Amino acid sequence: MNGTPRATRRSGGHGHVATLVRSVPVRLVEISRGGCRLECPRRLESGTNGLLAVELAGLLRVDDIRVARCQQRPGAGSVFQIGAELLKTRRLGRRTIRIAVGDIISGTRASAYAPHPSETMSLGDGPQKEVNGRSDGRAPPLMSDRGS
Amino acid sequence: MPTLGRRRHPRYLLHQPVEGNVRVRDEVTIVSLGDREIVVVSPEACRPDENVSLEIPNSGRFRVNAKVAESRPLVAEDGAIRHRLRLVPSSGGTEAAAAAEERR
Repeated sequence: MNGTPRATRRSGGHGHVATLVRSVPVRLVEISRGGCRLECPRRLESGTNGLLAVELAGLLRVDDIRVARCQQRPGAGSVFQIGAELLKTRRLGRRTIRIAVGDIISGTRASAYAPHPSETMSLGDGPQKEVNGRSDGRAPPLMSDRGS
Repeated sequence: MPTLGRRRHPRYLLHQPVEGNVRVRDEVTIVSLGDREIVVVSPEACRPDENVSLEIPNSGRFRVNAKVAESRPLVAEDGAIRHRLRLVPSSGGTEAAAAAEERR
């Protein structure tokens, strides 16, 4: 976490260290078992830790993430693409994003969760759609890869 | 640039992106804590009118909900760029801030 040096503390009622919690709206656009790609209206520095909360299959899922990279999407104004790692800091429970992603990828979502009318999760034409497959590159996929 | 641990798994594009949010925590230094205004020094800038919450650990992780009134950059003693945030406690936050001050 980006920390203010504790050396700046002063005695007395002021100068104490506190925690400022901000909520940054994001869009989850890509998933994998180890991470995800988000779109965000502001820059998040690499290495930033946070708690990602999204509604998947009618349930609010949360997981801790670490920002691996962040770059502005060309030609999209103030939209940043964020590559984030899903951290295994929480017990793997039903309300974790990792479980939801695992179910979606393995195709067991239908049996694991009741369909929800507002469900927005879809993987395209087939039951699964692999975007780029295995890749060691660092750049996010181009928009033409989105297929929509 | 190390790339170990990246892109080990196939990636799947969502047909429709899913809205959500990320809660980011920053360690800040309290400059002043009042009923109507809280001033902190943060490593990150905030946008005016952004809703934030301030957790004050001295009082049992006491939380104050506030809105950012002003965000100005400043140079810290170590030369690093910080941001001076002026926060206005939201409804209920005023009493919370006062209670936090009393607990000190």
